[in-house]
Amino acid sequence: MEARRPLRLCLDVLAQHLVTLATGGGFEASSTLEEIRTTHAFSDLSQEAWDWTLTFITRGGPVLEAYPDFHRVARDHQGLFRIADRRQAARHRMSIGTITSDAAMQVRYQGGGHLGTIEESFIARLRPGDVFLFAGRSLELLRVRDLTAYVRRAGRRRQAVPRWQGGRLPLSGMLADRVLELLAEAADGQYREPEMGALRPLLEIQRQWSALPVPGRLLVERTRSREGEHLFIYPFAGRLAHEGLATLLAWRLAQQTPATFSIAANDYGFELLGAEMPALQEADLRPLLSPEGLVDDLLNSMNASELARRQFRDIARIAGLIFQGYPGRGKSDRQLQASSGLIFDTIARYDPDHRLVDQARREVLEEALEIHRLRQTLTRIEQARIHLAETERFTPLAFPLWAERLRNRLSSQTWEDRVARMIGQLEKSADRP
Amino acid sequence: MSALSVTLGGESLELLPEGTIWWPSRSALMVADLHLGKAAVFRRAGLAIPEGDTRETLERLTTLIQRHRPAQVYLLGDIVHASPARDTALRQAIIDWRMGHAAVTMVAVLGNHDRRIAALRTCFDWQPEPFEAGGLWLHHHPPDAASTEGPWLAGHWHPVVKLRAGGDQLRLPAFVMLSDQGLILPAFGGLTGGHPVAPRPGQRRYPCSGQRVFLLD
Repeated sequence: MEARRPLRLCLDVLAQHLVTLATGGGFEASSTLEEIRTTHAFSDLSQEAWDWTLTFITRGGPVLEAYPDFHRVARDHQGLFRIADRRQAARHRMSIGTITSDAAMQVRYQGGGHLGTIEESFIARLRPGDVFLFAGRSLELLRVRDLTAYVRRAGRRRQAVPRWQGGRLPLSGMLADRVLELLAEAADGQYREPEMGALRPLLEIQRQWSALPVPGRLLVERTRSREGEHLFIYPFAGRLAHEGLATLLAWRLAQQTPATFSIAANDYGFELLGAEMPALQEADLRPLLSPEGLVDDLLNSMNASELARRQFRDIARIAGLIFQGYPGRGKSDRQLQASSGLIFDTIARYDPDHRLVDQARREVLEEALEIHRLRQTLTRIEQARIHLAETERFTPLAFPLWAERLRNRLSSQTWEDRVARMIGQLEKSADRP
Repeated sequence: MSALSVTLGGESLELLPEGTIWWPSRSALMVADLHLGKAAVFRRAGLAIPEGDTRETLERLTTLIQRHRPAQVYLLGDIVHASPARDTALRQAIIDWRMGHAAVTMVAVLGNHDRRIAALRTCFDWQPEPFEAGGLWLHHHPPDAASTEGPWLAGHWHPVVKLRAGGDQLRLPAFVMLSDQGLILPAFGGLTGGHPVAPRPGQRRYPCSGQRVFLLD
């Protein structure tokens, strides 16, 4: 079985739970604290963190002048904490839960008839007239209104296939090890399992264009495309470790010359994409992938990347910092809408000691950038041979990384330089016949 | 700091990197969508967003006023996010700020958010849109091509551009020029999101980074 580490001391979840209690019969502080401490997740909850959370739901935050007019939960005359008013209670009930996913959209026929739900992020990429496959039918998108996608049957066969973001769940290191062993067998020309046999044509292409990753050998691929220089590395250490490794490598590269990298990671490896990339021979790669200075470099790289800001998205939703609107009401209450990025920036600026911003940073460090796992991977890389391959096109292993939509960026350049370079690049491609 | 000059209705205007416009011939500064008091609206609804933005937005405007020494400031609507009638602190902050610039004439075009603004009546010379100044028409809502009286300026859209190339990606506030007849300003307030504007024929976009203004297309 794979290890799943339970999350601990998630103040966003605690805040939501307390507001839920306040929305019900109200709660009494000391007995609730006692009860909360009986759970595994909050057994080490400090008095200080508890006080902060109570302050967060009653006054907004400890910096009093920063939160005038805030009211969500208040103490009644019996000393019980209760929700401030019915509208807040209604709003809170709508957002109870900790599974954060993309907004689901209804799919309906133009003339009525409900077909099912689909992720908003998928529909957002389609334009009216586009055809997609859903509920076993070919459907043409007509329009999108109030979280409903109106469709009609399409005659055309070329369709987009919806995808749910299940790919976000990481594969464990153990499974990745096993995959690596199977690839080693394939490298010897052995395809024993029927699944491996089915993959054979793809793996043969991978071997011809580049190489198959095997235990004890680190595969590094470089490809040039219209977008820029791609560097693919396949340590097979699981998605989370790759995110950390990629951030670390991008940070170290960006220290040599100012640069901006776009980062993608999956369970097999990661990709850095930049407008320029220095020549990297084995001797150049070794220090970049060395475990030396790991902790300092990771802490620095986190500030230069968008990792914490992204992590905050879920935290903000769970803690009730974001109002997602009422179902079916669509665009009403628009004056209460702000993106989690904007809220992250505002809080980091005007209440820098905010515990939830802190939690976002901590979760990134503990999960994505889990130090001991990264050190282990780097040590393994130190002992591995490096196989460098320059490829004309994306190899079968590289392609899913290139296509990955969830990307993180790390930059050591000023905005002005980045804008000037991007505009230059856009003009160049526009001039192309 | 580098500005970028454009011509609108024969008038030369400087697009400033802060997302405002300097109009030399009238010694005027133009700015849109401050949305003052937005964080307070969130807090009253139970969303714990800290204060600081209103003060910071006004301070940035002060810096611009001190640098350019305008005779007048044109505010193109949505000065406040919600009625200042309920928000004493907001009212006081705006009045205090206005007193600090008593010598400057300030015209405010009414935006869709500027409702019940009686408390600020004396602060600004409130005008319904469009307001004509030196041959240019000041709006809050960008007008339809059919209903324009002449070259115009407006806000309301909160235009931003998304740049994407070479693996990099940025979202920047931008001026949008429409067929040399209208110019839309980015939102100046700190707690304002943005509405991405895609390239279109007859339209030019000028993203600004705070240090520089760029011409995109």
